[in-house]
Amino acid sequence: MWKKLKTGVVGCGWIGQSVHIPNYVQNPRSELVAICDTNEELLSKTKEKYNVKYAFTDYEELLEGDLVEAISVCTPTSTHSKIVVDAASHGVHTLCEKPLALNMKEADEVLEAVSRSKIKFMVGFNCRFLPNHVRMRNYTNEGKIGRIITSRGEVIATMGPFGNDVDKEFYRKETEKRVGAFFDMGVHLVDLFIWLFGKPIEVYASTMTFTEGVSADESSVVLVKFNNDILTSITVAWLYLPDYLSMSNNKMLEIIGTEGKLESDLFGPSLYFYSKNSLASKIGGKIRILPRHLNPKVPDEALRWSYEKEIDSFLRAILEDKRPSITGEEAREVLRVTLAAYESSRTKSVVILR
Amino acid sequence: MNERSIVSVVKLTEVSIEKAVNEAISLINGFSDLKGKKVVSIKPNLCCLKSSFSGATTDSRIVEAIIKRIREISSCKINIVETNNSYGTADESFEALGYIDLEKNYSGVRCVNLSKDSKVRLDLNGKIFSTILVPVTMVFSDYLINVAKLKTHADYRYTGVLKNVYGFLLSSNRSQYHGFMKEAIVDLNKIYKPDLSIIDAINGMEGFGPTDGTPKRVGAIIASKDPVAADTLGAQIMGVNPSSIKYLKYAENQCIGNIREIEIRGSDPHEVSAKFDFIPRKWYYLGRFSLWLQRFSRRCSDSARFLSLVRSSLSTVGFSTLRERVSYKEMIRLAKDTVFKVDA
Repeated sequence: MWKKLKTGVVGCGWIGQSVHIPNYVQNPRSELVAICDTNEELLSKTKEKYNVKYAFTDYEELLEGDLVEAISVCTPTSTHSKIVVDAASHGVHTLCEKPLALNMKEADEVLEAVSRSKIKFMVGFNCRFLPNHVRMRNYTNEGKIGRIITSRGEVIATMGPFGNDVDKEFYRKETEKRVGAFFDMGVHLVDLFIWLFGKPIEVYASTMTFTEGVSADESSVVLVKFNNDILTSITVAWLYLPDYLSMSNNKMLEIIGTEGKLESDLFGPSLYFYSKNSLASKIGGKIRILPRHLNPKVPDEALRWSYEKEIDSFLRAILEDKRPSITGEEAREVLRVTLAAYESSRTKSVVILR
Repeated sequence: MNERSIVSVVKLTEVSIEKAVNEAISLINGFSDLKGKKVVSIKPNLCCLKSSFSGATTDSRIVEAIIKRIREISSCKINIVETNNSYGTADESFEALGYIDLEKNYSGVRCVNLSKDSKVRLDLNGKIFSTILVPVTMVFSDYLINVAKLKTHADYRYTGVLKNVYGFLLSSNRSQYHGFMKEAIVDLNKIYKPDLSIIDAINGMEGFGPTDGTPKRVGAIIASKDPVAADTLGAQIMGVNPSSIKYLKYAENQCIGNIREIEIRGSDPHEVSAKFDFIPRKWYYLGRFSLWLQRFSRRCSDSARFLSLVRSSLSTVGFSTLRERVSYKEMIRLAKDTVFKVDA
């Protein structure tokens, strides 16, 4: 029998409801004792649905009195830093949804608070737990595709303000704080590419906005150069996708090498391997590698699995006193590249990262 | 497939095994495409722990001759690969049948038990297999040499190169696919299509093959780049009409190789021909009937699942919604793929 951590979730919106709360309820290492949201109706419904003992409209009450040992922060990005800093001051281990913060000042405040309090702090870049990305990283490091020539990532999706059942007004407010398509979705790709290639040194970007009243980017192309001379282009867009686009794969990352190409579904589970020098050559030069335990015919199974792994990894890091899989410093680096992209777009120049 | 396939056959009476293998490979210009390859896999038939003299397993001396020949051309990695079988593990087979010695005596040679290898699932979308588990060693192998044994098969009359890839199946219950052998063999040969096929016809097996028959001396090596052509000649040497072997004919139809357009080089096939004994016809037909029953019962249960799936899709989504979202044809194709194909 594992020791159970008393856990809480701050923010009962989509990510809280569909990912964090159910996973804390199901995970044998956790006992979900408290939730928090400013929307009272949503809060009471969630409390009832998951049979949670305590529900608060103010997160500070949740942090008081050793009620919880660990929390997930699933609130809008603009509130992340304040909640994490407060959680750290109460000694509560924290899993914060991505992106880490709105700006570097907030990010540094978070890291400082975390370092001072010695809590376990992790940021929810769940894609890293997908087996296709793990395999992609292994194959790249093992030289299965030779020397890397170039790489590319893409998220073009009916998401953000255009997603189903989305509070458009909420997004309008969020975009005022510069949380656009790249800030919201592009960070997954930035994180994965840093995880794959190492230290980014240069960023160049251009962003566009289509919708009236939206002040942040809805479409962006970002070029990132890494210190090992690897160049990556990242394309991100929130759109109403026409049918033909929704049927093709617009959420992916690929690495092209001298001896092959790897293409990975951003939200899993498939990894495509193109090569003349492998089994792929027998079947038209391309093979689709699937994880053994995930069924590609079940929609979103891989994505659900990645969240399950993310939360389990966070809980294990606390219980086993290990370094979390995704640290605050790594999330800070992602934020640095993300903000550099916006700066590049604004100044129409290359931003050198020091 | 219209291009003529070249098959070589070399009799062993005048030459050693090594020379025979070299000659058989040279006659078909066998290693013309080996240069630049990094990982070569050699798949012998080690279906049980019986020696090659019993006619059940591939003679390790043939594999040794192949390794020596490869080393003249390339310093690539060479993996001798096999999976566990119902008689024992591949490691036991490597040890008992002399393959471990090859690993010890030649640099860059490794015996790999594929059953212990890490595995990945590949999307195959084949005739019977929807996806298939493949050992990582095979994913990154860029040249495959299939070294089969000339044997009778109680259920399919003949077994050689094409059937040898059945040994790549990692499932613990391979017999479940016996009723769908021709489809399974074609699917597997698409993904594991050998670049070079060699048949060990030194000591074949007749009677109740592929493991419980009796040895039959033939004394020949067969080689081809076309696995179907190699098996065609193997079957002819055995005294079987290749067109009567269902999976061979099916493989030709599916463009795996040639049965008819074959050019034979080397020794005269009539000189190496040996009339093999087969199991009595009544036992053969009884076996075939049991396989037909397996196939029929499986298809019946699949059809029931298919109808149930179509019904539930229609009742959940509804006719009008379905019409807007996907075509009927597409829905039926998806349902068919889901039900009638398996994940191996």
